[in-house]
Amino acid sequence: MVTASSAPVDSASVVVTSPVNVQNAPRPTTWGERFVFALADTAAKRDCRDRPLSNVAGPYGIRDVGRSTLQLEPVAGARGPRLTIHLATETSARDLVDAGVDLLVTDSPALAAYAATRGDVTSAPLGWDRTWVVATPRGSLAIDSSVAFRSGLARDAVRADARASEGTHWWSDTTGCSTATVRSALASIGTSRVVYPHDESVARALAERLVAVLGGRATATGLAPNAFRSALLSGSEMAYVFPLRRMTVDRCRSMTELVERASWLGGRGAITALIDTRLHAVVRRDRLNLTFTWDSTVAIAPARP
Amino acid sequence: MTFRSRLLIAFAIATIVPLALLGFGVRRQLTARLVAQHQRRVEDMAKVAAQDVERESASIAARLSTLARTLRTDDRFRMAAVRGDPGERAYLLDWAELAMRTTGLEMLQLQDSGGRILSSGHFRNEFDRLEPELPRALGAAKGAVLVNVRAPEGSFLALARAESVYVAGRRFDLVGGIKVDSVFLQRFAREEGLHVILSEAKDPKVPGRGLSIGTTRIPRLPARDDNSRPARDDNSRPARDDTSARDDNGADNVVAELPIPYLTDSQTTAHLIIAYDIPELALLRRDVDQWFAAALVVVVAGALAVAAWLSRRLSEPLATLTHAASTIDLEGPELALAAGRDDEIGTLARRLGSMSTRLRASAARLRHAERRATVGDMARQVNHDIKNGLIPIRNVLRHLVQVQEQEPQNLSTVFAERRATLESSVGYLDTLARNYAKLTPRVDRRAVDVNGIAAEVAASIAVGNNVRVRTRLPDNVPRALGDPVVVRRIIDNLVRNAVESFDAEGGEVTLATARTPTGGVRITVVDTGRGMSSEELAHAFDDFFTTKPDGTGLGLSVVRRLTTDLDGSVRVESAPGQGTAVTIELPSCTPS
Repeated sequence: MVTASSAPVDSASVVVTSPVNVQNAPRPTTWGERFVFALADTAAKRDCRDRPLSNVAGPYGIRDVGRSTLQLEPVAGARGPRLTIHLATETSARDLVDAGVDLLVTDSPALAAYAATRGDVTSAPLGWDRTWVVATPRGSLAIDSSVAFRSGLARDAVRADARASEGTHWWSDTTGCSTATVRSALASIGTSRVVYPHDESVARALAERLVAVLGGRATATGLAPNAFRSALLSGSEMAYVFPLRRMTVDRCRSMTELVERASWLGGRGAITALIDTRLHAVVRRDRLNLTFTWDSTVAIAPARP
Repeated sequence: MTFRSRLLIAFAIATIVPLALLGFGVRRQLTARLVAQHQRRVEDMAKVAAQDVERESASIAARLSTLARTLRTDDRFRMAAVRGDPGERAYLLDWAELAMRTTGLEMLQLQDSGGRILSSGHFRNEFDRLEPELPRALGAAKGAVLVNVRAPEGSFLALARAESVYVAGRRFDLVGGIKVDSVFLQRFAREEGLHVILSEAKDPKVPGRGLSIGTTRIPRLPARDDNSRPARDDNSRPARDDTSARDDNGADNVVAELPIPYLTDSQTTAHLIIAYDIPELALLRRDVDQWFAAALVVVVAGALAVAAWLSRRLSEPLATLTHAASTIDLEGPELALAAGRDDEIGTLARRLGSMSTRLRASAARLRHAERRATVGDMARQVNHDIKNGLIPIRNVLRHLVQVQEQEPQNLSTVFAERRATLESSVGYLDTLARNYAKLTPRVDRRAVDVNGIAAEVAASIAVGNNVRVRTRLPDNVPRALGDPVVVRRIIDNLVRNAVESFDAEGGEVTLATARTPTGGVRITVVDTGRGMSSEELAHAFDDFFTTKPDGTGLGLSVVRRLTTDLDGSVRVESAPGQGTAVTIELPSCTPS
């Protein structure tokens, strides 16, 4: 879906309000990494029927990694403008917006609303692409699973554009997937921690709310990506809050990948979907064309001649 | 334990104990003076800390009051909290965080009149939790109160106050405070060496059950470099020994304590403990200890040297005296004991010398008496032996006189018959004389015809009509190994004793020889005389013991001595009225 079009440009600036660590490629740990890695991913330039997206730029190669910027250039033979991606906090992103950027991708509705106040931009929410779940190695916690509770989380606990998670989730249907039989011994749970990836503000907000609701000695602890990955693999924490793709083409493959990350999910572990979130894109109408694929991946279209 | 060891130990104790007491006393006095001086100083600091806490409390109250005034005119707050406008709910949730940052507080809650948290600054997603007791308890307190505040990452301690505000007729409570951690406590530790601990327990040696934080660990003796003391983290509980504020003397630091209200389920007061470790005290103690150790080494070394010298002075004469006493020989030369000293040892030596002299004189007298007794004994034995040799001669002579008077024609025949007896007796006497001439007769070792000697003795014994001497001398008796003269003396003494044991009624003597099972020679003399009682039997071999009116008491004692000289044995069996049996066993000439 093309949301805006403009005259062709050689270069463009993009603001992403999410941490990006290129070392994590090709397996993103944040939505920002997912956005950037998708620009460099050849496969992402094909539609759901595996047909090339003729009007999509890239694929891109990452040329330079600065402290808070990334330089991306189209690989040889590919089309599209050179991209300077600014990795910004919500505060610094406002400064960049005021200075003029070609594209803002953010999970903050407030920031998107502020950016949209400029007259030359088009703001659009992207699809509900991520579902935030709480996974518990020993079964479900005493958490209210009602829609009201989940709506409360979406409305009050997080500052992202969120809703109570809806629909049937791919991980809840293991029919025909052999991965559901994967078992592994669980490490003993020695903590009362609800852990989350510390770069994810939504996960933090959800974890804090769970702690507030659970009471007692429960605490919320943010972990670095590697530490979180190890903790998730061991199943030694009381609960884990993290995002999952809301949709997948290959349900069983995604199940396999999930069970590889947390093998105890094939046993007594339980996943409870809490909320769905979506990103917002704000694009300058006269600079870039954007295409959103079926799974809400943002693709930059080459400028029109 | 030797005398010398005891002396050394006594000297060591006698010097070390007073010195240790002196060192301990000096150390204690110095410590007490220095501690008292610093105690006053720390108490002054505690007063300053109390003023600081009051100032913090007032500052919190002022900030809460400002926020309360702001809330009354905050329209968005009214729309969210009073009207319940969902569009302003996010503002309400974020209000406390923003207000907390604006005012510099580190803990802020906004509650409605039911105790429901509407907005929480230190824990945004704490909303809707009920906590009605907190503002109530804080409102009842006069000043700031320590409270445990819950946060997502865990609880922390805060110095908090409460303020109420009425908006649209509804009461809202603001609870705000500042974090109490090591950074907070650091402001009370204005001087180097000053340590501040906040603890449930008043005594810093006893860690509180839930609360115990401090700027540093309170050091223990010996004083260590401050850099080596790890700083405390917030809310970290020290290990039990970490809070030992004092050494065993209770004097390496001084402590003052400030009570602060503490809101928990069971505790109502926490204690701000200000401790000052006194580096001078540690240095002073170290110096005292060093000088004391040096003095101790010198004194002990000196004491041990003196003790060793004294003990040698005392023990060496004693050892010499002991050696001299052990070598005293009453027949040897007289020893010179350490009599030249004029002390107790000299007296002892002199007394030992005089005792030795007296013993020596007594021994000489005893030897003289023994010699006299021995000469008498020998004279009696010679008399006895000569008499034994003369008796056969006298008997032969009487027999010849009798024949000459009654049968003169047979004199030459009888003389010829009795000549052997005469010659034998004369030979016996001759040998006896030679032996006595040599005083210590040498006993021969050659084959002896015991049967032959026994027959001669039996023939030579003159007996009355009512006494009969029988012999039983089998041919298989081997020759004995010995001296014929000695064997004859043995048999002669035994037969004569047996004959003399008869009273007027007479009796029978049986002289028998036999071969022993081991191949030796056994000589048995059995009489039917009066026998001996068990008491008489016990003394039968004693010299000069006799039951006969004219006996010498040497017969059996001579027999035993002679038998022993021949490596033989003698045994006597007797009973009153049953006669006596004497058995001699001698080794044979041929080995068995």
